[in-house]
Amino acid sequence: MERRQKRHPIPVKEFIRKRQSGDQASTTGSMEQDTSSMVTAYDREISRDLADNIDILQKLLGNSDDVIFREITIGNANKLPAAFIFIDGLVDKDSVQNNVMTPLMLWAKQIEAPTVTTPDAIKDMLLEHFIAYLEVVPIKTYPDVVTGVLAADAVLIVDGLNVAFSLGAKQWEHRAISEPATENLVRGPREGFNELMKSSVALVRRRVKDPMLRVKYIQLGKRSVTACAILYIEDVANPVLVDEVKERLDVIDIDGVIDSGYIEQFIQDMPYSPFPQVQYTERPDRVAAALFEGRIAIISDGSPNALLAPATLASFLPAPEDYYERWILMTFIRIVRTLSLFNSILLPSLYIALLNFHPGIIPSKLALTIAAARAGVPFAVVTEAFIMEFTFELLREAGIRLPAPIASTIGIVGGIIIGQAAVSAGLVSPIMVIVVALTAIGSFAVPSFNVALSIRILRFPLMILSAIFGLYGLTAGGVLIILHLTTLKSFGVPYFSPLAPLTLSGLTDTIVRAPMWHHRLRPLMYRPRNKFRSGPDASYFQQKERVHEEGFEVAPLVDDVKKGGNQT
Amino acid sequence: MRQKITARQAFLIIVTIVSTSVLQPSFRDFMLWSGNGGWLPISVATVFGIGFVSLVVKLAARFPRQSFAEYAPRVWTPVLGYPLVLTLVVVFFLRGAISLRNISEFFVSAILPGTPISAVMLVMMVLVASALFADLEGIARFNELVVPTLIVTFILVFIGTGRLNVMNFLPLFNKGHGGFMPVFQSVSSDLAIICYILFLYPYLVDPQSAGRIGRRQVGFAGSLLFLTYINALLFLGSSLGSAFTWPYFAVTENLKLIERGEILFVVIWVIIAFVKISLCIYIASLGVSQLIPKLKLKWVGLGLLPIAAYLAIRAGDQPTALANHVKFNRVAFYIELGIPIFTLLLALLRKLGGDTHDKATD
Repeated sequence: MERRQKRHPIPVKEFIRKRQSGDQASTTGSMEQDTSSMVTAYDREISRDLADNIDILQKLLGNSDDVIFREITIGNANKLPAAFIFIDGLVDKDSVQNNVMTPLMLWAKQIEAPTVTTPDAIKDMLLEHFIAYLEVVPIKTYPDVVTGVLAADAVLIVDGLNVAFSLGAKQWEHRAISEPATENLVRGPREGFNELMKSSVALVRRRVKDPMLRVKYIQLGKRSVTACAILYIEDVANPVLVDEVKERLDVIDIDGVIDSGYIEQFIQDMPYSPFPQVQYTERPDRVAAALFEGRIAIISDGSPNALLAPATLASFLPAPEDYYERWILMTFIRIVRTLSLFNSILLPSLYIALLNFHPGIIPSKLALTIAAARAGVPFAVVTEAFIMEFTFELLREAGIRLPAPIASTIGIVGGIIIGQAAVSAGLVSPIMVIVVALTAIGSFAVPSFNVALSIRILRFPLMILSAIFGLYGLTAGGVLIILHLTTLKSFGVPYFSPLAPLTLSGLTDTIVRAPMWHHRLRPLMYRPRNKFRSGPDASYFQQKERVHEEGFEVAPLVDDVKKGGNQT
Repeated sequence: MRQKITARQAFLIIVTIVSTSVLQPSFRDFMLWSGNGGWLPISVATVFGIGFVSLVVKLAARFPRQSFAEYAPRVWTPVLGYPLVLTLVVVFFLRGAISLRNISEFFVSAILPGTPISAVMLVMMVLVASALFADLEGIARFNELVVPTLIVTFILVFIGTGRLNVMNFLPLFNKGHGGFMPVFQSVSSDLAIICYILFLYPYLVDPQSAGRIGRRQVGFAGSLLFLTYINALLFLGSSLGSAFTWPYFAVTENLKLIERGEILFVVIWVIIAFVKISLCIYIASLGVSQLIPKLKLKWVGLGLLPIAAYLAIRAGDQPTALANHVKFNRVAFYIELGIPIFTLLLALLRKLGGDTHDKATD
């Protein structure tokens, strides 16, 4: 418990303490010991004296040039001094100027009225008549003022008052909501998250207009003080799971959380596994669907990727589009996708194993073709495979880092010119080029980039095993991978579910995407509080069948409407 | 905290274990001993196995939160109880070692000619070690995935063998009745591995359904063995079949479906062999760690693995090693059968466990 408390410092206090100690604590590693007297000195209520307050806050905020202290005088007769403190570039200056500063400086005669003499009366008058803002929070301590300023609020301090006003005037440049770059769809919404947490939360809220949707804000990172939101539907998500997610987020002890990827690495179950145990997405529709399944979303400020937990292997394989199109078509696509997954992980290893150890399994004509194609290639099959795979990885990596127009050029140069040249020079066989190309295409068909990446990595040890033991080695490698997957868990949920452990209801949404009305149960592996997501007769024709079975005639609703339309 | 598995997962393991008999030289011996009538003792052994599972579950259910290692000394007195537990542990361990050698011999002959058997065994040992670290939950889940694939391979072989001659059944009992008992013992011995439930019972999520699911799974495993034997018999005939070391593999070599398709089936069989060996070593390690609670299961398992490999390599040349399987099964039959039966009998007589548990302890 004591340790837990140590690992949960109040971010601002920590921030102040570190400022006071001149960052020496972090370099010496004695952060916990260096609780300087300055912290205790400033962890108190603000003074009534404006000059004192400005002096202390300038010390706390480190006299940075982007921290603006704008001193003004309220009224003419009494001349009440005040100051705005904010960070340049993070605050909507026009709004503060028009809605607060101008009224205070020009129209503040009421403050000079004889009845407004006590600090409380001045405070009430300011709140009721001059600060025309929706979000105004009276704050009383220096740490709160610092928090407010760093969180992009404008803080107003008035002389004679031992309370400051934090104005929710956040505004900064940000990317507009645009189509997700990494999760393109043919059919479905085009909106993707941007780097603003509140905007992302709002995008989800627009899709889940459920009063049971809960959004809990937390701050992560001692220095970055990154705002994060935990989203879940209270009567759907398992409370134990919600607590587990909160607890894991709570124990994160790091200077800065720059992207949600940081959070993912701190909360996963098995950090040494190559497989991702938390899902990420740029799509609000995907987050909404996950919330309906009883999962939990984490959105962090500064990242366009929301995290979804728990995650199973099966949850990485569908694309959101799978649910927007007809089930037969999408089942076919899923089968193709699953085969491409196997293809991307096994094809090079299988090629090596068959050629080196079991050429007899290859049909005779194909074996002759391969032999003819390999004639003159100076390398062993495994070396050839490694050269080609490495070249391909190199091209792919270079393509990702370059601007889009140049990346396509790299693709053409790498794929066609180098490939063709390598074959012409007799360095590799054309069959190997086909194998590597098919492998690459297979990995692109996997919707989740991080799962595709895991597969790319695992391909190499499998190739080595195949080169040593043939199919036996490949099988042994496969066994090790599957065994690992069956032991892996994400927030206590078996990673390979619903296949192992088997839950029959879950099979309707794995390789086969059953019709929507068959998805009556939420995925049970997430242990949702409310198991059902649709009624027993969720579709029109199910109701029709039920009515028919019960011996009533179907209400000719459509016909009635048509008749009515004709009459009018 | 103890890992938990479902009763279905526990018994699906039986299906996998029994299926390895198809791979091991058992079929050759069945055809040698019983000829065309080998299916009869297999059927009888299946029915017997269904009864045996009830008995084993009944015994385990008398001591619901304890394993055999914990209650056997109480039922038999420590002087007899501990040696009995140890005997079962040794049986599981030896079964693992023998299977390791058999399966490795099979792989070398089938797909890796020229490869030293020690290399094949080394890979298998790595796999088994990883299974020990995956723990029972991991093995059970893995097996849950494997069983459907396994069944598909048997179905594909059945469909793929185009020429099945019904006349191969005749004469029905060409070897007389003398071969009945050895085949019965061998199959029963494979099925008697059910008694691993005695060690696992406290780990079952739903022990109430263990008996019902167990009977079904054992029936299913026996039927699978029966059908594969019939398949081999109808395709090869008993005299030709007994000439092959691995008759069922000979069947798959003649599939009409795909050229050299048997290699793909061998891949699946590598997996089931791995499950069998892993489970045998796991149960042996579990037994030891339950006898001596200070020893951790994983480390016991890692210690037993090289010993098993050493014994497997030292078993002699291929014919001797394969013959060990037959001898072992016939002895193990009595041990695996006798220990649960007599323990249950004694527990009943001494009114230990079950409804009378409280009274007895009072």
